[in-house]
Amino acid sequence: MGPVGMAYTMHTTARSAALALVVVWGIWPPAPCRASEVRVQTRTYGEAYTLRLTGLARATVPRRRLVQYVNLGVYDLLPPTDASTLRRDPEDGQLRIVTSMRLRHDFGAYLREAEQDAQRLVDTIDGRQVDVMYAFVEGTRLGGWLDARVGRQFSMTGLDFYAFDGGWLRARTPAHLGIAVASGLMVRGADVLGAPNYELDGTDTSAHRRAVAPMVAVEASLLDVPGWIASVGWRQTFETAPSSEQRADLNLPESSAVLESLLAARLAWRGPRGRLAVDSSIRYDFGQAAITDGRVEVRSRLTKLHAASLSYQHTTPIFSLDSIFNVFDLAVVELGQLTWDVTLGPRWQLSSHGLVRIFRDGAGAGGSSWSSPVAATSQGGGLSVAYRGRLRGMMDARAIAGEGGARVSGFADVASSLLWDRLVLEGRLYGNYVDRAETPWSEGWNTSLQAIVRGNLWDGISLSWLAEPGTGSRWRWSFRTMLLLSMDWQVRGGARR
Amino acid sequence: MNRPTVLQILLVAYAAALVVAGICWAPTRSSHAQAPDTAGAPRATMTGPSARTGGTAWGGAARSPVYPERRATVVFDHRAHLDLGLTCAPCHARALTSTRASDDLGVAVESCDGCHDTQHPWIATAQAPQRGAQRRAATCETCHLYDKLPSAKRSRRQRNSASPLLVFNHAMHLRGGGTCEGCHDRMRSVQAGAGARASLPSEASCISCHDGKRAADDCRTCHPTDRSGRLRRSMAPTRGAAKLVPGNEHSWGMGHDLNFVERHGAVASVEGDRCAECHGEDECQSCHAGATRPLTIHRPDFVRSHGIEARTRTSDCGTCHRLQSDCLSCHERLGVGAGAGSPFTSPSAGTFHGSGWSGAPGQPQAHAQAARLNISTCVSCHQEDSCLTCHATSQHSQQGLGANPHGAGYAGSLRCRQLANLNRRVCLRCHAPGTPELDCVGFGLGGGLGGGAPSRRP
Repeated sequence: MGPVGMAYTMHTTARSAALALVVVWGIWPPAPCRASEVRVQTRTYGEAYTLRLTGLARATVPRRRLVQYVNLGVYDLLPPTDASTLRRDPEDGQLRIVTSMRLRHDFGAYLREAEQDAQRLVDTIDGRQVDVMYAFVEGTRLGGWLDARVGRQFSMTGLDFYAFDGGWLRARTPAHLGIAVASGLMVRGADVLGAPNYELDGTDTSAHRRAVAPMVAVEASLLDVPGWIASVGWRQTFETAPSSEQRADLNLPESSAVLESLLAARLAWRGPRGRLAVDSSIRYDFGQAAITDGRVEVRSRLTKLHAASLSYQHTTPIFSLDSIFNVFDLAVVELGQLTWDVTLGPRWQLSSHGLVRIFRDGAGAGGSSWSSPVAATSQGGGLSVAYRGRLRGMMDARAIAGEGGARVSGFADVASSLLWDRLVLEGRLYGNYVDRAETPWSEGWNTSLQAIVRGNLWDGISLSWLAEPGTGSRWRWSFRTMLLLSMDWQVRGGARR
Repeated sequence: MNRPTVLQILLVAYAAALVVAGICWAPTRSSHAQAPDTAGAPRATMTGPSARTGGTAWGGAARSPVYPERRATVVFDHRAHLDLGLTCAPCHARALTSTRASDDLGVAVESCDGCHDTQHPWIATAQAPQRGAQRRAATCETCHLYDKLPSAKRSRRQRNSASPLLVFNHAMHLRGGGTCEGCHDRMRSVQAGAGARASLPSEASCISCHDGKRAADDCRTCHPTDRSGRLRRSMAPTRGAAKLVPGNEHSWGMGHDLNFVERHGAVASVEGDRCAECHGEDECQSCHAGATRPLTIHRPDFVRSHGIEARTRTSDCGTCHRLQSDCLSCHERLGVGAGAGSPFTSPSAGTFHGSGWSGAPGQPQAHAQAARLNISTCVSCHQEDSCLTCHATSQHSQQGLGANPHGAGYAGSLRCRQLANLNRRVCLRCHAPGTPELDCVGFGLGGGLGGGAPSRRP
């Protein structure tokens, strides 16, 4: 066994051991944890519908999906320090274990009967069928100053959606400063219990891509300062050397590389009584040598009835540095948006927005910047009115013109609950008009009427049936129907001293 | 017909077992109907829609996420009593020592007897009133709403059925200098005989002190949490139950307005910890890494019309869908991708991209501008190999056409050097080993994109 194979074996063994530890710990908590609570949550989705292919064969593909989530949580592992209380004060520190596993399968023809290339791609996301979404042990305020997580975890900050198997530690210093470090292995779609959603985009997740991808991250953040939120962090993900066979499969000319190297910062301020909020965040990609995401937003509750927000966003698509999409001359997109919300009455709400989008051409060093010439623009706006009572309704109309074509769309939505919320009826009328000279095939109008009947059969069990006839200038008639079964249960148990 | 696999059989059996288990257990195992856990440390401030609008669950109006639905069982005119100069303490004596929101602070009948001494003779004599006509005597109906409540037992049950979903310590607030009127400031407007919301503090009165300086403004200060550390957002598990949702002027700009789904990413980017006070990991992942889609996220007919939205870049598909696996595999499977068998790659392919989209060097290259403005739509159907056909250099093993995709000024730029330093193998996808371009020098000067003449390496 070569070093690569050994590294992979160690990697999978470590993961298996960690997962086994989490499961065993969850099922058999240590004796002192008498005040802990075990929570098992299952969520089942069944979905059945048929897609009609647009290919020459015009065949149909039935989809019969069943998705099962099983979440296990063990909370309050540490007993209260004060014997007279039922729960430990959070300031004294606490431990918990949370896990989520997903099983999925399509009983229809989606996974079968595909063309060769399509089959390979479908297998990358649906072939494995078992995902561990997350599974970690978390400690908060351990010893009053340490936060920690060990296991499969993910961070979702709005700028990022990243998961890794490893550890995260944050020390709370007396100066309202938190210092965090994290290290582990990036979760990849081809891992045995991986999840394809987590892998950096831009490269395929084909099954033979099993190279280990270690990551390291550090972050400094402001803690417990009223009104202020601030942090700055850096993260880098590598890919270790795959075997020569794997390199050949992946057409990788060299052995190891950096897949991402990011610097992200955020700064927010909350005004008195929370009536004014200012958020800002920025992400610098060392691979692109450019700011790939920047946002500033000011939100205000002007009065009890009026709220407004003004935002600016600057984005460039980013991909794994393994992808050649990074080297293309891509435009920066700037988005300015103004929203205005009005509470019209106890049950009525109005929301309006206007936006301007600017596409800036690539220039200078191969990437776009704020000073680059404008390549295209688009602008639009919309208005929504909602009523929330026993009968719920919403009307929405919006239009956008410019880059990508002109588009006007709107819908009216009405819903009501009957029989003590056991039966929910929903109806939607939707219309859409597109004017795009570059792609005549997408021009024209279409409309559809959607009806949804949802029966809450039992506590946590609901069955929804959707029927949607439609028509338009691009097709004479269409019909979609879908059956959705949802079961959402939760069982709790625990011992208290 | 293919034979079912073991996994398929197990999944079906598992689902069937869940159905059976649910029918048998679900009503009795519901975990939501727990009494509010008020043992947590005091710590929050959010409000529900009905609280925002001043609606009230009391008396049959809109339901509240924090105050349970109750009916008044006695006719009591607070205003008349206050006008007589009475204070709160003599009647609500239990409030002085109450430490939990779940404590019963109702008035003991003995308090009434202090003034209305003849109205409760059975209390003093330990003789309960007779049923029937005697019970409905005018002296009782003066205060008691017997005609609306068929039995005294029911009225007691209603009165004590639920507690506010709040963490509140009356005694601590009084010790800290608080007064009854400071929070219950609308008692004069409470209608006699109707248990109205006006008798209870509004969130605004809480916020007047819980501003983060005089008192903590963390959500969990006032709103109880469950053992997972999340706020308890509803008193009942039913879909129609009022939920604790940030929505008023005290929501730190996080009001869950009509367009919040579209803009929540900006909030979460800086306020992730605040989001986590209510939302668990599974809630984020049900959409962002979901295997099935919620019916409310996308509009009707989205399967057909999502391409238009992607092309106009009005939504960021990559937030939830991985382009190079999720989008690409579905497109390929359904025959609308770039793979073999797709109608878009047939001789009549002009129906999708149109003429002048791409071609040999020197021909119109409309795809260049489209890719520059929105490469995500390209990536959802094409893999890297599609690009390498033309953009790889002629010396490379790919035998490309050398069309330069980098843009002017790329050679020698910081961007080029950074990428070459961090991941040289991406360069080697197009450039042959040993060529000067790998050191960020020697690129052609022409802009390969935009329909101009492609630069060809020597």
